[in-house]
Amino acid sequence: MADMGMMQAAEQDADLRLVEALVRKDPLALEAFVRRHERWVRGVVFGIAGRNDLADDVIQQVWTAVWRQIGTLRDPTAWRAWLYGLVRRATIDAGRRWRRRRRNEVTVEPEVLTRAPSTTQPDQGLIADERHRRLLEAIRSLPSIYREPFVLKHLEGWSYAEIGSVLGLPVDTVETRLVRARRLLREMLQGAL
Amino acid sequence: MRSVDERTERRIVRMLDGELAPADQHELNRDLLRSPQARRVLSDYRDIDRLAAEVMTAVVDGRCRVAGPTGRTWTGRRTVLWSGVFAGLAAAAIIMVVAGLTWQGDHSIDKGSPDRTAPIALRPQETAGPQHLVPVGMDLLNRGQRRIDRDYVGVFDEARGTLYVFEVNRTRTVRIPVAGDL
Repeated sequence: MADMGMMQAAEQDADLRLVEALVRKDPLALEAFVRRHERWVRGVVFGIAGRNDLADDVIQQVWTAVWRQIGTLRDPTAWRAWLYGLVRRATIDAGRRWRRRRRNEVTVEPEVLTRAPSTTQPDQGLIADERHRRLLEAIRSLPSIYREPFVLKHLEGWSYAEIGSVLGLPVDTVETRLVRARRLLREMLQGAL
Repeated sequence: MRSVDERTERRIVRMLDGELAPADQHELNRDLLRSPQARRVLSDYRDIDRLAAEVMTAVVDGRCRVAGPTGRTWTGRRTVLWSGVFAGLAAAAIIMVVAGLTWQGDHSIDKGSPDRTAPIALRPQETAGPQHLVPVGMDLLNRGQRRIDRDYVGVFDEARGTLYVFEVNRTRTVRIPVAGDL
């Protein structure tokens, strides 16, 4: 437990040093920052939008915004909430652009849930599994106020306090939302568990 | 669907999330021993957590593609709201149009006509046989006033002092302005 705490503290320290280097406009720091947090950002995009097809577009915008707007980060220790705000705005903008494009197109991309072309053979069957497919649909159909903390919890294993600090919510509210998210998922998956 | 009380459910979730205080752990153990429903909820939530971690890892790593709107994000809800508003307005407009047409139909000038497909009047010209001329009394005209401007043209035969009504779209008509107080 103590080792875990020390590891966490070391990680936080490394993140903070990277952010400080970013503030000094160190391009190598940006590269390292992207490598460390891209997966987390992808998770946030899914948490907010309930889809991952916009992630590449959003992420490109987010890293550009990080580089351009890092000077607006007043408290470097609050970098995660700041980054979350950037991802949230970029995701919502990307969703709007997508809807505008879709309106102007003759052929409309239907709502799809497909396996991406991948060489990772063992995982290809994942979404073919009925339970996984139903759960993914259930997570997507959760209201975003429940989906966002649920995704952060299950992708990153964050504490309620960490989730609350990023979402700007009290710990009790985070707990309530996580309880309701599970309750809704259980209701939606009735008979499949 | 909720088969355990809220407090037990919260403890179960806190335990799964690694947030349960040791004192609450004893309480939860007692609840779990006592209640098969609580054990069921714990088992279901464990399954959900395990499957969710697998699914979301696949999503984030790009091993499956999830596209299309969910309609549940903040913007999505707003879209749904506006879609609902527009759908409601469209429905109201359709109802108003249908109701208006029905109302007009009830007051149509040819309501009492036995054969609605036959022309109800012809031009007061020599080519038109007198058998097709239908004199219209003032009471009928008043009842059908709403449609005269749109679907009927009234022709006043000054010599006979008679107004003839032509149904537009069924008969080629000649509009003759009628002067005087009808």
